[in-house]
Amino acid sequence: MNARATLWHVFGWGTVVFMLSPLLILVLFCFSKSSLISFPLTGFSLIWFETLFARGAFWTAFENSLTVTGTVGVVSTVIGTMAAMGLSRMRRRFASVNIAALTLPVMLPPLVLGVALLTYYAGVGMKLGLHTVILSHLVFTQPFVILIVHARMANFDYAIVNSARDLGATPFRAFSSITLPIVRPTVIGAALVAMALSIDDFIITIFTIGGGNTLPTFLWGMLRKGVNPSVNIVGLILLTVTICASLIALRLTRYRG
Amino acid sequence: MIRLLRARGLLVAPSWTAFLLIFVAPLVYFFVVSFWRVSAFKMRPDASLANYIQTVTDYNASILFTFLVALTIAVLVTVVAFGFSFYIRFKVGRFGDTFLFIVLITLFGGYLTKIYVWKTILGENGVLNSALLSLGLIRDPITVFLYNPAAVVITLGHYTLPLAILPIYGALRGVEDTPLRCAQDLGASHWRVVRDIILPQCRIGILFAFTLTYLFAAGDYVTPQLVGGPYTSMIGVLIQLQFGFRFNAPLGSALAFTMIAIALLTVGIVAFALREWLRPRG
Amino acid sequence: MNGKRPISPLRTEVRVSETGLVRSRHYLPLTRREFGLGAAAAVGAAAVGLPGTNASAATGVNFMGWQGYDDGINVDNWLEKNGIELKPTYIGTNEEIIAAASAGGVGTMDIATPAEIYLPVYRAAGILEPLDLDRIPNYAGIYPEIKDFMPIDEGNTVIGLPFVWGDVPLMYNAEVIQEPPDSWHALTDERYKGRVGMVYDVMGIMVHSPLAATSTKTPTRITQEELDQTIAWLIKIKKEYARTVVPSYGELAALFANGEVVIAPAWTPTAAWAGEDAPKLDWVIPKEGALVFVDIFSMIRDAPHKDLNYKILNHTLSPEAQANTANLNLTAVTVEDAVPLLDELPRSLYHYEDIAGWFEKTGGPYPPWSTEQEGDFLNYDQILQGWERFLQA
Repeated sequence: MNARATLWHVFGWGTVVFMLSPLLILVLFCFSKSSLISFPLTGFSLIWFETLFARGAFWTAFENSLTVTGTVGVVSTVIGTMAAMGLSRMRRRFASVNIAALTLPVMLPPLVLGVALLTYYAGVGMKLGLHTVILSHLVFTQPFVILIVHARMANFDYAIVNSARDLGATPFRAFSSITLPIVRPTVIGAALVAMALSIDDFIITIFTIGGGNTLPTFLWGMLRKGVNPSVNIVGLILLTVTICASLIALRLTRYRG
Repeated sequence: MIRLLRARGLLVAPSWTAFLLIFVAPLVYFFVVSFWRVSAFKMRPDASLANYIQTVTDYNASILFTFLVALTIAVLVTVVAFGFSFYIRFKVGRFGDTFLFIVLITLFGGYLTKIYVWKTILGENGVLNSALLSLGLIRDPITVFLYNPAAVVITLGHYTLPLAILPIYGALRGVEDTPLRCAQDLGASHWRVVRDIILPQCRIGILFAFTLTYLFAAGDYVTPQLVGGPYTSMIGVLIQLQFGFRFNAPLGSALAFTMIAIALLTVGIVAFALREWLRPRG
Repeated sequence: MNGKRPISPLRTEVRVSETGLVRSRHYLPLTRREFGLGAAAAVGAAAVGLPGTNASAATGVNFMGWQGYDDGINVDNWLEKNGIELKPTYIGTNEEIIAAASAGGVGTMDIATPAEIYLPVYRAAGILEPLDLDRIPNYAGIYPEIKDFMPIDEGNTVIGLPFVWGDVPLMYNAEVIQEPPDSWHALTDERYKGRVGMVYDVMGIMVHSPLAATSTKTPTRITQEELDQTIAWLIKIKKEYARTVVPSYGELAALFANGEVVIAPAWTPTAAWAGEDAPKLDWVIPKEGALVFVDIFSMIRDAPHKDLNYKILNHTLSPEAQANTANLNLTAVTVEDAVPLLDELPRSLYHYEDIAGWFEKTGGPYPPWSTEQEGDFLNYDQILQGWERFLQA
């Protein structure tokens, strides 16, 4: 192995360590006995899980997160998949323009979207609540659904759908018994990505929720007071949910780069 | 035919409705508000440039600082992302997919979580200091890790790296091996191959990675608050302040649109420079 | 919502383990299994798109305030026993309540806990409900010294009940600084250069700094010139004397504990938070005076559960709720009958034997910030502009 190759390996492994070690540290200190997040560890215990799980506010936030994420996952997937289907049968150039426009919300810093939505909801007299959070999440999750499903539809063979239609199937029937079974893994994968993005969102949520907590805003309340292992556990929950969703999504959609 | 078109249009309609009602309309309204003013905690319609004038006169130092920090992050992250993508595409062979996988698993989550972990790592009683102490490498905790602009760069860099790797690696995958080998057989140096064959093919991916990172860093307000210490005067923090503290949505709006305008201008300059630099040479 | 320095006195999540004082927290009696059912129900509701379905028999009351106050008033599970499910939104700054109320919160929010010094701002925003004292018999038990400070609305109505109070004295490491400092100017003492602590607490800083940097006796009524002097003084500390500026008093406690910081303005419980292994921490009220804050319980205009809110508001002034809150959060009580119920530490932190004398020594509570310019005196927004200058420096 020459020096150049060694350098490359040091850099590559260094990057992996940089990316991963914070997450490992997060997990490790969930089980620490001490309230300090520092070495050496004085012992392991589950006390911080008990402390956290005994708090009613945690479960309320958890429930709100499930409500928001579940609703966003369903709605975003339905409208995003519909759009991807429609776009995939349009002319390529026209579809690209559509997709570029619909993807704009992803490029905008979340802070700007959050404060713009807050001002807008107040301006039109809409009361804030979980419903405004759900609406707000749609706008930055549906681009991912559209992109993922559209990529799958690009090499979808419409001939079978057309033959089904020729044989008298209604459009809905053709969709539910032919198109959907073929693209179902991709659609589920897209839904999981949308849910992962939604459950982790903090900035847009905190501006549009009005009252109450989701897990990220609950975490925010905790970590402003300094650090202790209970905070790690909320972080771990969020990270586990998003990683699992991403893993399954990557597998289902066979997404590679 | 017309029926078909209408059906396709109907399929796209819900997405466009959501996009127009929950994205375009709020931004247009928000932009209009930037010309309004506030009195007694209520917004009053107006057509004044006062908020923009105040943005330029009172907040120029923060704007400059923000874009220096964001530019640092975006350049570092884009370079590392390119290096890492290059490494897994050309240097590690069949483990490439595994490496990519490891780095991408947190792509869709972990925003607050990652900031929080960095705070616990870099703190004075934190993981890094206590590890160095117990290894005997240092005698007293090093206090300079947390609460400075470098901590902001590290924390945001860690969060945005997967976002930057994805488009660059996607572009690198499209680079075919054959022309590279031909060039090398013909005696081209490594650098010539990278510069004249690989980079031009990844230009869009690189620009995309840079833009995502840069916009995100310029607009963030949580990281500087939590790990920036005295150096928190990033524009995102001040935008947020107008909403959380001063109920001055018009001024906050002017700050936000000024930030976006400067960010787009920077991205435009970078796009132009990249194109000039990577123009195929004869 | 904003962590910018969001810390005003009461963030609390009191360290259960470190002080050993606060074991007696009250938790919702929710078993793991019940939760499992709840989670399944939530997923089901989510799947059909029904946000916020609430199957519970208790009435949900929306509370927006400092974390710890909700636990405090839930003494002996008082809330559940009265069929109330308190739905808390925790705040990091007093302004968040105004922001939430004016962004559509009026009509859905019930109860909030602003600081007394912000009351005119809340009033100008028109978000508070005048209170009918006939429905709050416990009001009679409040220390007269504290009652005197409560702003009265036009029409002689009260818009908030004093719930806890506390102060932000000058705290120092007594092992390093043997002679107690007597002035805020100790923060610019060359001997402590680089070891001064600061917290992004707009209420604390913008009260004691004018006292230190100008000759004013009323730090909430300052002129532009006095504000400029104050900001210059603050920037000097931040740039030349401060070790760092941290977002919360919890983090300041950690800095004291490991000796990074030897002197800082600090909310009183900070010393207890630093832990037993920390250097000995002591505190003084400097001769210029100090912030005394009073956090109050208010009802938001058009609150949906008025009757229940009155019940809760009256309960907040019961000796049991008062003492429980103080024991959990190390704050001070506003009701005299609560003092005998206090644990030793929270009782020792405040001068219950002579509250009037203590207020005279600190100079506070000072008059609340004004929303309108009064003669040469700046309004609240102008003071915040100065604060932004400090942040940007």
